[in-house]
Amino acid sequence: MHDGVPLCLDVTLSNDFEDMARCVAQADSFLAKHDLAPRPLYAVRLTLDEILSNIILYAYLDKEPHEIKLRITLSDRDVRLTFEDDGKPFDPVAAPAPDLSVPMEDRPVGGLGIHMVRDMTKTMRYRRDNHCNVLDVWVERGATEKE
Amino acid sequence: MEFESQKQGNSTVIKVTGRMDAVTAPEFEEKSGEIMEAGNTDFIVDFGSLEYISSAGLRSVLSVAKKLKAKQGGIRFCNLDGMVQEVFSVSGFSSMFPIFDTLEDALAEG
Repeated sequence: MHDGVPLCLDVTLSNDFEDMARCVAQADSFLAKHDLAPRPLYAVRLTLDEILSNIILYAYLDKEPHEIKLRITLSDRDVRLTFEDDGKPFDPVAAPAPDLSVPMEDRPVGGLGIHMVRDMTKTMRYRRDNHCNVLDVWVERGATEKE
Repeated sequence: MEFESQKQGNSTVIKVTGRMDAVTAPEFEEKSGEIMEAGNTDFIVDFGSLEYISSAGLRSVLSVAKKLKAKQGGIRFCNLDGMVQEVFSVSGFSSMFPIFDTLEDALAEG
């Protein structure tokens, strides 16, 4: 690790796509300060895209603004992403995997995001805490294969 | 995202550069729709310069593929590289669509 380079980023965003773009850009410039290999960098970006857009699109039953918290923590071994939202309970770890054998014309247009994140990250852990969904996702920095 | 299309024989070769995510994927669908409306329904998508694709990008690919199929057309892909190739494999898209190593191979199939 380089001296003076922060190892943790906290961003709070509201549940709209404009703010999500701002948050992802902030995450990008934070990640750019650390030498991440292409694969973990892709996995982190994909996790941010898929999890945040899922929360924005599906977590809320009302039309009110909500606060989503994101924390990115780097260690020598992995990148940890923590998402916290006050939407309806949703455990992406337990979400059913899409049926990839379905022919093209019968494929539902969607349902892939969580599956891709699950496949490309090392560990995902979900808990419901004080009316909030808290999701931790670990992306391994070094290894190229899922454990 | 940059979107270039070029007619080659009976096929339309579409080259996508940059990122296909929730922000840019609608543009892919829109421009593909224009090409279909002009009567071209044999697509070769060259993803050699695609850096990143999320599930939103895959959704728009699937949506275009379904429309082409409804018009008795088709879509095939070439030059998938690195992480984009992995995403195609993880999502099952590799087994759903014809994929070629090079543009020449994809054209030869047409």
